[in-house]
Amino acid sequence: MRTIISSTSLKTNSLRGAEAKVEKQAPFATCHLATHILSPIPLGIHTEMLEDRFSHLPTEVIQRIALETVPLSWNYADIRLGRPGPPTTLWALHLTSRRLRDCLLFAENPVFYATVFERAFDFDSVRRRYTAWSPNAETFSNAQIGLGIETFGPAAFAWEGRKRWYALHRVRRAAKQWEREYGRCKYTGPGPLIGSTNVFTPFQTSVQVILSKVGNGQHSMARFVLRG
Amino acid sequence: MGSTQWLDSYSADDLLSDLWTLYLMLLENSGKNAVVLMQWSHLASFLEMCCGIYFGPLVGREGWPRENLEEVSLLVWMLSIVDPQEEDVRDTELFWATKAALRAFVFGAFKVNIVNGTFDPILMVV
Repeated sequence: MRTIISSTSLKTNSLRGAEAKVEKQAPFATCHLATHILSPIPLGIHTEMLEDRFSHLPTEVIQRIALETVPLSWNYADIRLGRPGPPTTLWALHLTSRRLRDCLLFAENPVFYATVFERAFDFDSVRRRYTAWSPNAETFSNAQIGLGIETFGPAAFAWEGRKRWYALHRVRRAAKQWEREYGRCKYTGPGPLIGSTNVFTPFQTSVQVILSKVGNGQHSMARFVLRG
Repeated sequence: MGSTQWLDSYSADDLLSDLWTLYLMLLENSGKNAVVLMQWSHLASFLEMCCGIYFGPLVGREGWPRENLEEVSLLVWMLSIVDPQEEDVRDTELFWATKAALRAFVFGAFKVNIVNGTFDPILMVV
């Protein structure tokens, strides 16, 4: 495979000199090492890749561009900007080119998929939960260790997001099958959700606050009760 | 009380794990999770479907809610968080049947053994 590519591309590029190639790539690759000159890999592959300006972007930039295609789920007043849904656009992008596949592969880019998780779901409680459940959580505060002693890392959040989307997909499929016969429940309409993040009554909110998000985390419920 | 056709393509393990996922998402909601659950995932319909299973014709029979106690407990928690009203649901009879079934958890909570999380028949004397 490599020989075929190099032979065909060397035919096309053999007439140009190496200086011309360096001049051509200069505006895009100034911050990178010129490994294409010194590497033992045939020159044709690199010159072929240099034709593509998009592939030369850093991984972070490509991932940032891909992140813009992921649906949001903001609950701000302008809810049209927030179209909740799974990040299905990443699959299409991932199939487009090899560079995009490398940038968007799930197993190799956990930080990116943790960002996707943060964009779609509420992130703080999950982080607090992981931290609070680690065995050494009593000895450190949340500010010192964001993700817990048991290194869950961004891969844990990536997998959490994946698990959630699969579960939500099953729920949605079953609910749509049920709704085909009985119709959709009225509560699902966007009415009560526009302009307010609070879908709970005050009592439920207080219960939820006590249960999930008080203070620095660890045994927060007992502390909250004892503090009075 | 509702169709159960959707259960054919939904295994019991998947249902239990999905109920746990939905419960944790509702508990940790700060605004975004509710939008995803209510608008994309049709959670309200899903709750009514589950009510049709666990609070429908099963109520009052032998073994309820001792079997499926975990699913029923998760469903009670999710109902207490979402708090659907009578005008929100499709099936009003099922709504009131669910309200009636919740008495078992309001007035019979002392019968639940905290140690192993089961309904203990010995304590039913008390």
